[in-house]
Amino acid sequence: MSTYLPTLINWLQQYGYPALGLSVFVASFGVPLPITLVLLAAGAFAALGDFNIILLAVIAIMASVSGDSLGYLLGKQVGARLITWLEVERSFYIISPLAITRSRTYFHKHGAWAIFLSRFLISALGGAINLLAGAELYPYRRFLLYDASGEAVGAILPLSLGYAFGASWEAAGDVIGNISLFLVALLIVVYLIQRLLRMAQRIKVAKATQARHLKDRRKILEEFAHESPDHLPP
Amino acid sequence: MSLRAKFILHSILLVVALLGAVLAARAAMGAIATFQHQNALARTGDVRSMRPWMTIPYIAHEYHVPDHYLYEALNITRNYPDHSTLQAIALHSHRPVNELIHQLQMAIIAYRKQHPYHSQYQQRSPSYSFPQKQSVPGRIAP
Repeated sequence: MSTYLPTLINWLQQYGYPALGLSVFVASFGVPLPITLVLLAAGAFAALGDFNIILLAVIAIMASVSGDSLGYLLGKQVGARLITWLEVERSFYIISPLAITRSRTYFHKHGAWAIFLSRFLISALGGAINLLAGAELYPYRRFLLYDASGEAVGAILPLSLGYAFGASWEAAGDVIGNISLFLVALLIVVYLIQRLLRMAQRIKVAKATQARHLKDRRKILEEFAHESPDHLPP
Repeated sequence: MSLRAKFILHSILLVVALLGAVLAARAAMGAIATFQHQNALARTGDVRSMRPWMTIPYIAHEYHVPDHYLYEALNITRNYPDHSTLQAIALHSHRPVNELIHQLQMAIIAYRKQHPYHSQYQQRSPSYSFPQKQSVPGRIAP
């Protein structure tokens, strides 16, 4: 059990919906709080009749989207300036401007997945992704769309599991955590296999080109050798 | 870095990631087994499934025991904040939470012994050897 979890659950019982909203907001801003477990507990309490499950879901989604938007705004205000400064060509630089431009293009291309998955699968990265999206000037409407979709999954799944399994929500939380870890590892495996296949193809092409060059060179050498054996090129 | 070196590095990373995936899969299987066990305990009303995050009304509902009986077992007044978790009660009363849980477990077992016809779990729970239902004169079990 996390250190803050008993306190958060006690607040949830004492102060109800505002306590849940506040903790979800703070967590989505990047503070490491065990929010999935709090939502599971809230679902379990809702099954007893202490809370309304739909209201819990609405509050959790709204609070998390607000926290994420604040992170995005902060990234846009501070991070975007920093990235623009880093992008300028200088005689001395920490990160090459080319790498920054490449990362910006990459984020604009694949950022949607990063935003969506970091809401529930790799929630530890959520705060950092919000800042990065703002800093990379990712379109806010698109950010909001993927953010809200991810947060809906991230709130409804634990709430309904807590509601369904009641007293065993802690064990259900362990299952969610371990399955998330497995899925992340699986995603990394798939990504690495994809990269390795591409590399293998490039190595094959490079080898074929090299072999062709060698063949051409040998052919030229043979032609020279036939024509004038005394004037071979070095 | 040459393409070949990159390939070797990525291959090593792939092996590490595969190892991580296997370990995570094993951990997930273990977590599922624990969950099934916990869920079975909770469904049968086994008092071992009691946790520090539970409130007195929650325990009363979960184990089908009147809440005033649980307050009495803990020697706390009824007007105690109803929504305090056992953890919070333990903190306020300067008692270890495990002691509170143990007291409540004993109280629930005692209640079930006293009111066998009230306990819907007695027939289903294999983990406790409660005395067999005794016919109480003048009372009909529901």
